[in-house]
Amino acid sequence: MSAACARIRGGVTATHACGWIRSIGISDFMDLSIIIVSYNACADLAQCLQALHDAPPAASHEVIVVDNASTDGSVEVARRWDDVQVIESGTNRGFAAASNIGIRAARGTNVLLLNSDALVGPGSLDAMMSALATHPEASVVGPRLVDGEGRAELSFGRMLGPLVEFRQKRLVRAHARGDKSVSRRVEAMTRRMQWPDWVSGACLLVRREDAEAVGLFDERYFMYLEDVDFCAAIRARGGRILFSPLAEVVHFRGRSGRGAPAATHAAYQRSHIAFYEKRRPWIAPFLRWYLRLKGPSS
Amino acid sequence: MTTRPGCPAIIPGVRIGIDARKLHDFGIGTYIRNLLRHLARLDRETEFVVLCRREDALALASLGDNFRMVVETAGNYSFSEQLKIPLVLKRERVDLFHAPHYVLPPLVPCRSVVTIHDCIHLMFPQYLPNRFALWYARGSIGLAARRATRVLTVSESSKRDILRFVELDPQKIDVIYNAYDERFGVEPQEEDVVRVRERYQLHDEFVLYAGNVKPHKNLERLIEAFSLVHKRGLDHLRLVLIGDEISKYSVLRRTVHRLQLHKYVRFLGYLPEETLAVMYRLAGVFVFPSLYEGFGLPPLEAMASGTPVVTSNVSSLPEVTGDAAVLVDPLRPEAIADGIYRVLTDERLRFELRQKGLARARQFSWEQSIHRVRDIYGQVAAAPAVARETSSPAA
Repeated sequence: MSAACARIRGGVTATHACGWIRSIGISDFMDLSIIIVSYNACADLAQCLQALHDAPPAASHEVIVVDNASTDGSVEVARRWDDVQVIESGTNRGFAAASNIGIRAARGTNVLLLNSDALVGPGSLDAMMSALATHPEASVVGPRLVDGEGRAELSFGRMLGPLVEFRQKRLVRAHARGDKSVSRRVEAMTRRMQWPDWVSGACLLVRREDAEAVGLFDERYFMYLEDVDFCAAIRARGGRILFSPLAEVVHFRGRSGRGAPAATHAAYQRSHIAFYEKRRPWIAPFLRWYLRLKGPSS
Repeated sequence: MTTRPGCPAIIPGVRIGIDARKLHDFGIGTYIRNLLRHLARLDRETEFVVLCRREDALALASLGDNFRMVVETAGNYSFSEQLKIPLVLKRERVDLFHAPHYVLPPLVPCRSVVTIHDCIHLMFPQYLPNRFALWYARGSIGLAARRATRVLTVSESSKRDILRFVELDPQKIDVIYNAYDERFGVEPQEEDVVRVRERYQLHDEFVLYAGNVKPHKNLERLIEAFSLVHKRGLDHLRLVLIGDEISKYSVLRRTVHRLQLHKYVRFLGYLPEETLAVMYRLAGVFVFPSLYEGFGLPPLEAMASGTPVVTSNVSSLPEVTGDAAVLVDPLRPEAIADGIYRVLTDERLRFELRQKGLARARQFSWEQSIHRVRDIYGQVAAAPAVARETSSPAA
């Protein structure tokens, strides 16, 4: 009953995008696969799955949780929902590798990567799906991310280089401090539809054929920056990245890494170096040198 | 076929260079991979020098002791390749150089064989990035064809095209057909079929296209044709398009939306070869409406998989498919639609195409083709030195 319902609703969303109604409910192509990578964040995961069930997207969809060997009972939590498919990866293989496991198991035409510390409100996923439908040139869509208090997160940007990173970090820090003018600026920036070079992997919708064309996520990244790298690969194949403020998703940023701040920081640094080694090899030695100079404290 | 592993060297002491920098290209990559693989099987004596990318050197080292890998970093179509390749060949004391693509630097210090797959860059200059690229392509093809001791190509139709653009002695060009990978000829495991069907949700009959995605592949008209078939009553039918550069041509997605087919058309990106092999077998009909091909490997792969093929009546495609495919005018969507409709509704035609396709595909074999390439290496290497002077067009 509910599957049929979802199918009918799926037909309506798609038609909403192009203003046309025909043979509702015939398609057996699933529209959307939602992939959640979970690692020791069972409370967040439960909240995230609950939100998806309270306000499911209109498109026909499936939910896949890939568990990276959590020790806090995340698997049992995810199994509480009958229609959630749980895949246990066996060991903690990192975000990129776990996402790839999920995408390989996905059946949907589009794939949504969702962090377990994100809450999807009603209509957000529909807005993202219709952004894909109305922009055939877009391969990836990212929504506006806000934190628990409704403050916008700078979840997109230009291709990373030293200068871009410097500017982005300065903005993010000032925004976190509560600098009024910066906050206003970030607020304004995240209200505009735009074509950035990357969007955050916290909530990222991608057409499956495009993800497959670039060989999914590069598994050299354990966590962090795999999203920027992925978007760069997609752009290199001619795809475009769309930031759509019409969709809004709550992201309790960094909760998943809160348990082990030192390990998270180390993982970030490794990804950081790996990114430069791959994308801008001539800068990598300078980055290493800089990071050594800066020391282990963040 | 008398040659088996361990057969004597082509000519003792002759060293052959092969440019394998395009190993991962779609069509040319397939050609190079099969060339190297089958040369390694056929010949364990002749010394081969393979110019390759750093990341491929390790994998290629398993070819055999008589293959020597030389890492070459010069970019494809770069200026530096014009100088660096001749230098490497000189350093490695290569006696014969095989360029598997039309770029043959004029300074190459030895006899050479060049494979020109097609003249697509000359036939469709509108798809090239700029005027300089056309000028470069025209210059390189002309130069390579005249400079090389022998020119190989992959179909009679390509041979005609080369002769149209380059003034050349037709005797100098040899047609050696491509072939399909053996993997497409074997029946896949039942569980693989179930897995692919489930994963890609292919429960209904579908029309398949696989290949790379470029304007001359004519996919827009294919989508229009599919829409016509749909309207003629086959409304359970799906269209699956496999190609890894679909996002470069958003016009395809637009066409799907314009024709209101988004529920029936599915794009897929890169697929592993085993999955592709299953896809061919699951498809009701394989459609390849390309406007121009040098050879046209995907229809051959489909035929080898026992899938009926609808393809264009132009370029090399009739030559490759013989009488084993429905040939249509690729410029008319109605004609393509008609072909698809006939195959899907006529059980007898489908059976006939399947039988003929399997038989036709068996006539192509990489082993035989590479055997002929090897014979040509022998002829070129053994020819007396004056033969090199015939590089100007024969009277």
